[in-house]
Amino acid sequence: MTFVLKRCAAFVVALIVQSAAIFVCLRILPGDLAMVVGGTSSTPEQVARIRQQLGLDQPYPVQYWNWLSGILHGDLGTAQLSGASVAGEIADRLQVTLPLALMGLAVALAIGLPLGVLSVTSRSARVRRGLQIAAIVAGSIPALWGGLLLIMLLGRGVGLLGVLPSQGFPVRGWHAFGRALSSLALPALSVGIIAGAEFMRYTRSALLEVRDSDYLAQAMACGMTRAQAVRTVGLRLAAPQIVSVAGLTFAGMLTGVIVVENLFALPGLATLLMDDLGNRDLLAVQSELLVLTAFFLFMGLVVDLVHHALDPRLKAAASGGADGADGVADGTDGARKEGTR
Amino acid sequence: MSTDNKSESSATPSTAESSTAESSDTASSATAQKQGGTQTPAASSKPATGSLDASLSAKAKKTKKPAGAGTAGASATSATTTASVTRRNRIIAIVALVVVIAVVAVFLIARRGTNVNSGTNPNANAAATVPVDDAEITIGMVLSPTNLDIRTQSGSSLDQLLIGNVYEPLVSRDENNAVQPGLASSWDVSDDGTVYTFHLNSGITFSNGDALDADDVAWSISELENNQYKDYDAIANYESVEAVDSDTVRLTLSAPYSQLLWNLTGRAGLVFDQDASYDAKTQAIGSGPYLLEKFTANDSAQLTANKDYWGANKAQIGTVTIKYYSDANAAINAIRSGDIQTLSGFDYTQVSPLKDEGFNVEAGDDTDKMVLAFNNARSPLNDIRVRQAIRYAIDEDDIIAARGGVDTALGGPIPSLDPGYEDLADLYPHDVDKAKELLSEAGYGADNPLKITLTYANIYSSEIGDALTSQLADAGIELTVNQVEFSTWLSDVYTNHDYDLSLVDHNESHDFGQWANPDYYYGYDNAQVQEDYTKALASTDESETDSLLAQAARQVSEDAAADWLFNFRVVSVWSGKVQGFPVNMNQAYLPLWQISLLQG
Repeated sequence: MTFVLKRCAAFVVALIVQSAAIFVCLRILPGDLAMVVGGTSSTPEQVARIRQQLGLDQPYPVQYWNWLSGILHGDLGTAQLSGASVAGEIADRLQVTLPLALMGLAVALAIGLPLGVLSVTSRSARVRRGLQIAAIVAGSIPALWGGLLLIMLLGRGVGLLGVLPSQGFPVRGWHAFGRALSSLALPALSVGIIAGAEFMRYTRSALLEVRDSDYLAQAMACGMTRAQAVRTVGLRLAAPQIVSVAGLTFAGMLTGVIVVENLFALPGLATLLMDDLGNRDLLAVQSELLVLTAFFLFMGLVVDLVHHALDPRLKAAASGGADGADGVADGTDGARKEGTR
Repeated sequence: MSTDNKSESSATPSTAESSTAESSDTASSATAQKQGGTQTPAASSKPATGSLDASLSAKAKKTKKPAGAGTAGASATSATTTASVTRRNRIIAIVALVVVIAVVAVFLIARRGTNVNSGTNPNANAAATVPVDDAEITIGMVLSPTNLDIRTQSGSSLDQLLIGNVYEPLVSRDENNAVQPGLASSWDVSDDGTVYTFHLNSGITFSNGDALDADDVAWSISELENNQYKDYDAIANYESVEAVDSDTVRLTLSAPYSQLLWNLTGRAGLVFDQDASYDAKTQAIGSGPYLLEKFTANDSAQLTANKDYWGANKAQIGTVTIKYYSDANAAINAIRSGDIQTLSGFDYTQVSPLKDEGFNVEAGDDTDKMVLAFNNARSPLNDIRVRQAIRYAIDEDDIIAARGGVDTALGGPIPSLDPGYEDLADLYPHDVDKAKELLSEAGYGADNPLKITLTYANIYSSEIGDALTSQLADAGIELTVNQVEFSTWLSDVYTNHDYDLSLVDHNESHDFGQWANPDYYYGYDNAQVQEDYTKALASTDESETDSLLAQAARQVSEDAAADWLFNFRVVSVWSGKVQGFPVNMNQAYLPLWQISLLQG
């Protein structure tokens, strides 16, 4: 319980530090919203007038405090350019980005888990080596290029097998359910395959780590084959690491689909962020960034908590006085090192 | 102003943008790791250590107790374990199979879903004309407005979306940029050119049912002037406006202003409902033939026909969606697959393949001027010889040809659709020797080459910068190209005048005033031009206005105040079913009511 409280407190502190960092970093950018609103036919007086109307002439500490106090009251503010509430805009865009990330994660898991297991259990050295090479190759594909390949392969109108819509999202959104789902298929594949390859490497290294452990020896002594032991006991032992990676992959997908959303012309969160940033609607940008940051941190929190649920050893350790998260953090790092080796 | 908007839809992340996004991203992940990392590692999830290990293996022993019984009786028990393991494997296999089938099924359904959609497309194989209510069209465009507040927000894409469709101006314009009746059916101008009396059509209503009368007109114009909304200066010399009676408005100027009528076809002439209260950024209530249903910046706008429209410009298509594409490939794929029926705003070279696929591809006349701006106020471009040398060194025809040959040569600040146009393309022909000669006069040579920087927004293609670099290199000029984000450009170039050369598509019509304003970012200051322009504005004789403007424009071009690379002509693509799509100037004025859908 204290662990959960500690973890939550750290979450809040990190968020506040982040908010200040975001605010400061954004103010370094040249140009401001008033100039963008004014465009290229406005006089300096008109721009100054717009700036004053938008409150951009107030000192930075005041602007920061106004923003932060709004956040503390649960108000993400109003995008100054579009006039829409930031929370509403984010919710709107999440309707694209969240399903995309979920589908991407599903693809990643569907590819990464079985192949990861296979790359450990396969009797054929050639298969094992082949899978390893495939994982490295697929994992190093830039999303932009992979997406383009997929469009050329499967995109309607351009692809060899023109079965899926290559770009865009239906204007009616999820009301056109089939179309919406199918237009997310290619983007989800392009993030999913790449993440799946990485996932496979994490799974493999996590399994390798436990393969020679006593647990598996024990399981085999009970009559399982090595492959069976890896699948039943090994996977369970590796579960915490795999969950960490899955959680962080998911968070990474939500925050990291900028390229994919741009390529597939999806009206998602990343495109919203890019547009607002380009227009210097900093109030909107900082709220959006903060939400993403919060989400990322939150996923970290969830992963840690899930570890506790998954790994009874941590509970024992926590009740024994040691901090349970240590093992988790270390385990994740270990898996990462393995994965990137 | 196209430049304003191009930033809004800018797809290419600039370095500044992406680095910020990235840095905050890495920052957040760093924090996430730090949170995990601050706790000192004591137990790792790596198996093998101490009591943790023991507890788990104890559990393992508990579940498979017989295994501990020794080798003697092991064979039987191990057989049962193997059996249970294989059974479990079978279950796993079945689950995996189900998952795979589910995934495949989802894809198939998704595919079928799209097929069904295209199959039930009402336009597919019906005959005769489409009734207004059933007619639907999706129009592809490039530049999206950021919000709907047409009184404050700059950007020609907002004009394109709203003027003549949702909001109507006092007077309107035709495809040749000439003034036509609008809300006002006629008008009288006093002999001294200072009093304009507009006679409104009768029975005009706003879409909310309110009547549009002279009070609304007078209110709209006085609000514009009092609050200095966008384009308030389009009614120069404004003195007063009043409603004489319910359908007569009198606008009084302190001095004649020859551009007034044309200016009233734009934002300055829009009439708003003084009794309606709504959020102008997210809603639009006007008197036009279309109602704005939904607008999502950088994505789409949806309009529906106004069934109670008062006038003759009735909508012929029930639902119009304008979809904004920042990526040419996405847009071209969309028109190929039938998601959109028209597409405008991309370069000819990008859309020309569609010509062979049964689409109409046509370039329209426009007022866009691709200006290679010179910083006339700063060394080295304050030297006219340097400016002239650059103009001689540039081969505009080559650039136009590389862009597919649809654009026209310009040579001066006034395009053919604007008053005062004169063909000045031959004033500075491509002549590298002359350029070198002028440069050596100005003190530059092989051992002391002229080094300048071209700063322009990344909303324009990098090919133009490359072409200019190589052309200027032939004349011994070293050009460095610096492509920046549009907002950075606004700050550095437009506001702070910190640049040598820049490149902007100035798409406004009637914008010669830029050259008569020494504070504008060109830094061009010529008393004669300013005087001619002032006279042209004050003249009540149209031909005199035109000749004064032409004279001033020639002067600007002779001074080599900039190089006009070409008159950009917007290319539109539309499928055979679409009729009446406006080709000319459709980036700033797109009367949707002119469009209809044929069947078959």
